[in-house]
Amino acid sequence: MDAERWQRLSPLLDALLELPADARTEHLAALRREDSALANELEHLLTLEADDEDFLAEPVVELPNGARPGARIGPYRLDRMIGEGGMGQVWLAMRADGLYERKVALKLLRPGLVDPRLRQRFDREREILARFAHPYIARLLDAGIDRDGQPFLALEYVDGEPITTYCQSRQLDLAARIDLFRQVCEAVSHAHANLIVHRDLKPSNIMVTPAGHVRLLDFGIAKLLDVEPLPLEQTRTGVRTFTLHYAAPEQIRGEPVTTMTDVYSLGVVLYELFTGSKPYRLKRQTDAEWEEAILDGEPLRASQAALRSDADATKPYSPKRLARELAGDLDNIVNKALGKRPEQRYVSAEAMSQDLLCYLRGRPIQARGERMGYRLRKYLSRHRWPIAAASMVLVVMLTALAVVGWQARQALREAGRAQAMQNFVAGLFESAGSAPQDTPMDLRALLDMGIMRGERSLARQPQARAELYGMVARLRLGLGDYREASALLDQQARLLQELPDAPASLRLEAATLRGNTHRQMSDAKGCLMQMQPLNDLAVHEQEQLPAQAAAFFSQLARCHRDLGERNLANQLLSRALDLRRDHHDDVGVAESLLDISSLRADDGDPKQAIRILRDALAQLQQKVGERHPLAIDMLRNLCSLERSTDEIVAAERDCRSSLALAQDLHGKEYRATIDARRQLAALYVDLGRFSEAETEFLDTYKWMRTRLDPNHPDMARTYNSLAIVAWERGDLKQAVMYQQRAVTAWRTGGNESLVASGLFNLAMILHSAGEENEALPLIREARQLRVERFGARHELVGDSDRLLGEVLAALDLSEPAHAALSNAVQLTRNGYGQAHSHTRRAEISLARFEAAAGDSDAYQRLRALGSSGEGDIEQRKVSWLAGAYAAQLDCPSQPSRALAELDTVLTQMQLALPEGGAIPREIEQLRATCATRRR
Amino acid sequence: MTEAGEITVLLDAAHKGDRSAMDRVLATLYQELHSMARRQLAGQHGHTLDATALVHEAYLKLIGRGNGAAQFDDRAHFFAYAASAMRSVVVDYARQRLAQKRGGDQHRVTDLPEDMEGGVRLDEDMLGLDTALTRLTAVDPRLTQVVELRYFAGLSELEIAALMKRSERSVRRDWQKARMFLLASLKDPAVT
Repeated sequence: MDAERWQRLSPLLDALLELPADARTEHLAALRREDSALANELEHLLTLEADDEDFLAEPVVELPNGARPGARIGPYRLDRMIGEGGMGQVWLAMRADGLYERKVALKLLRPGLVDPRLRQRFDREREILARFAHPYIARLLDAGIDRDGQPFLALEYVDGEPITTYCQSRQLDLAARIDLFRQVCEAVSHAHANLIVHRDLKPSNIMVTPAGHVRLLDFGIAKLLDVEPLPLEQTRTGVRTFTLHYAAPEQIRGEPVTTMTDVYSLGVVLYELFTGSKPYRLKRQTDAEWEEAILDGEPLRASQAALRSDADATKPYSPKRLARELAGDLDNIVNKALGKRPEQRYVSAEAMSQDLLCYLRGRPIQARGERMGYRLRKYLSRHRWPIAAASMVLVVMLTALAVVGWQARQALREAGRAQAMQNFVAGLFESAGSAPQDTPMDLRALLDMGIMRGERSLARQPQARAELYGMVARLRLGLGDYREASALLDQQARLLQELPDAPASLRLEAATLRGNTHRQMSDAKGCLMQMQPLNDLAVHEQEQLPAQAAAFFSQLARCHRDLGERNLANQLLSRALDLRRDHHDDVGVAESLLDISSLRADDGDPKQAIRILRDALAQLQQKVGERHPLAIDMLRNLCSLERSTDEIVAAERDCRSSLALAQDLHGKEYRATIDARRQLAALYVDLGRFSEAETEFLDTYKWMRTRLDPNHPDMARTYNSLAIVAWERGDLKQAVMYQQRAVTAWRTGGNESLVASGLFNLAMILHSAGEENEALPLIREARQLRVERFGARHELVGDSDRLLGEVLAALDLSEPAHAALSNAVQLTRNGYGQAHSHTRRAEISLARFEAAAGDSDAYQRLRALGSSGEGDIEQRKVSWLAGAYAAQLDCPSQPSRALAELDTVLTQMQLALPEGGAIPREIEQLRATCATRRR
Repeated sequence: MTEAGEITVLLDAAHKGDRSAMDRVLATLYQELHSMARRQLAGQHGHTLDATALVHEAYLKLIGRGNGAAQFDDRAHFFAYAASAMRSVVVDYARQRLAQKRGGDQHRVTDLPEDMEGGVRLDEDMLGLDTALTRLTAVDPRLTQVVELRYFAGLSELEIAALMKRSERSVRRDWQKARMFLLASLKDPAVT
């Protein structure tokens, strides 16, 4: 057959192979009418394939290395093969080293399918699992890898039959079946209490011995192999056997598996024990159809299924009689276990068992009661909260559930953690139900209530309580309640101190959270003190707990950054970034890049920072989606950086996107929303829209004042902003007052770059007010701090030199003034580039100074700078200023012309900056001085 | 086998995108497979050639060492290569035994096991299959890869689907089409 012919046949074969047999014949017949030769050839190939089932059916050689009767694997001698599945073969085997006489079921795992770190995990987990014993659970006796690299698991050998066939063959009545099933629940509960989830419960794993005792197989194997999801059982021909049928919706979706997953599987097993069939009726039993049914299908009521069964399957009852027995309570119990969402199911195997006991004793069952979702809906409709409060609660709920879900995924041994948290969240709403009607829901009261409840109900579970404190602290942190968060975390720390066995993940999260809280309260040193002792643990666990370790490193880096320790911060951030990249944590990578970008901005390289951030944002949007909460912060930071590089249009666009997204995702009263508003307000200042800016600042100031320490850096930022607004509007006293507060606050924080900015602004305001003697030491200090921080050639030093030069000139200190201004021009040109507004400001100041001393070249330069008034508002402001200075120099000789010119400039500015500002005010002063001269 | 340490270094380099390091890893693997096959044939394991175990063992040896320091995330590449290596190992083996039965190369047959029941017939089939597979490669190399992974490396369709990041169903279709092509080719070698 040539390639061309095959290219023609191949797609037709694909289509035909997808069809069921009868449709295929039909399709071929239709094809035959058009091209009989082609149809014949296709049919020939299909027949050829169908007729020779044996051809290549078995791989060249099937048995794993050395697996044959009599062979030795580790300390065991193989007897006979008793099963084979996706994970490998199961052999009946005996100890070969004579240590003891005992039959074991030896699972030979296919080596290529298991994690390369298997051996270490075996070493770590083997002992824990060996200690895990229950009479109804077949014990895992041993796990190892033999000389030839063959991994094996030795399990207690159980001589029995699957629970379904056991009940069927003995025609047990419902009560006897329920009794057996309750044994299963007891064993599962025991495992869950030991934080082990089975993940693959099914009748073939639930054996009943001839003496009538239940034995569960394979408990702990999922944990030991750490496979997720467990490879679905399959035969050599690639056809799945029954495991899929017992899988819970979350397993099919690939979502975290919890103890509730086992509850679902137990529901399917119980259904089958009652009816002899599975909960879904399907036309074609394909995997896809099964998956669909498990995800979305409504299970057929067990009583209905019984009614439709044939009499053989329902023995010892008639179908009708069985249906009657099942209708009502038993239907409800099974359906509750089969809830699509974990929270709709029984909270535990034990609760399910209890309900079955209630049924047996004729007491009312729980499955009849209102479900949590129902209660919640009912509660929500009873209390119509103001919409903001309601959406806020939803944010918290979602956060809480995300935390719970995340915890659930963390580790099977932590199954109990997730359970406790779910109950807690549910409990919050139940208690909230007793609040007086029509009172707006107070979220903080809700959280306090949660803590109180938790302390009562978790009195004997310190670890769960520690978890609870952590979760509520996280929510409090989101609300900006830093002090409350801090108090909760202190309580958590005391608990953890007395819990040597607390999981590493919890310890790392707790430390990260504490570090974060300290940092939010601008206590970077405290942050380091809390976090550094756990650094070794984070390094040690970084492969096992990459998410927690990366979060830990990132937080630690931020605290180092705040203290100006940029190298350390950089190293830690790179480490976090690498970890997150290795584990394909797209959101984490974006967060790390955001951190790194901020560090570049600190280093005084805003362009690089913008590049990193834009790339990271594009990646985040492409991989995770347009509307991730992290995008709020990224856009806000972009806006801030773009402001600093004069990209005002881009800055406004990004600020607005950030604010819109924040309001959309979080509502109004949320930290991220407040931050976005502050950034937009700062932009309004640049644009001369002072009253809008002031309103925003005062609003956000109100929000922050109740939450933050007065010396918090974010408070300082707001003082700074309010000072600038006051300065622009001409209220210099107010401006000095706010700016002094800002400087004081920043000085307590210890971030010298911020202190320098604060001092610069204070000097600038004082210079405006003509208080040159006060301004001088401040601008000198600012300059010195910037030299130390960024180096003597940095453009920020250039900015400082410009202001320093202006102050010195005002004090008639000509020589140092000239030196400072010349230096300013050089540094800003090198750093910002020729066209930047700061460079222009420096050039104008120098030209003005030189022209005032009679340098005509300088006067021409000033004129040139004044006529280049194109571009955005910052550019135009400086060009107006240049024109005004030139006119001022003309004033002594040609006062009328100068006044006319100044009026023109003022008119133009009036149009562009209706609210005035510091520069229009300065020019007005020039005009006033000039006007007196004419008189 | 190359020192485990060296493999780790190579794997690390390969992991960071150094293709030539990957090629060296695979070349090492090929030698390793051959020497393992030879050891097995000479040893006490009878005359079964244990494909799955060989490939998995080679994989474990390459990957499982060095305390998990190295990661090999290009499993698909690895297995495709290993499966194709297995095919040549098995075919070479058949060819040598055939030569032995026909009184060919006396020197090399000494380390091959004797008394293969129906061995000659099987070996001839194997050579025929190899020829047919070479033809299949010419028209549709993806199908050959599925056959190699499944028949020579002993992977299941589910595993193959996971490795090749395709649906199980499409792997199954490829498998069926490959069988058609090969059966047709074997039935009528002159025409195909």
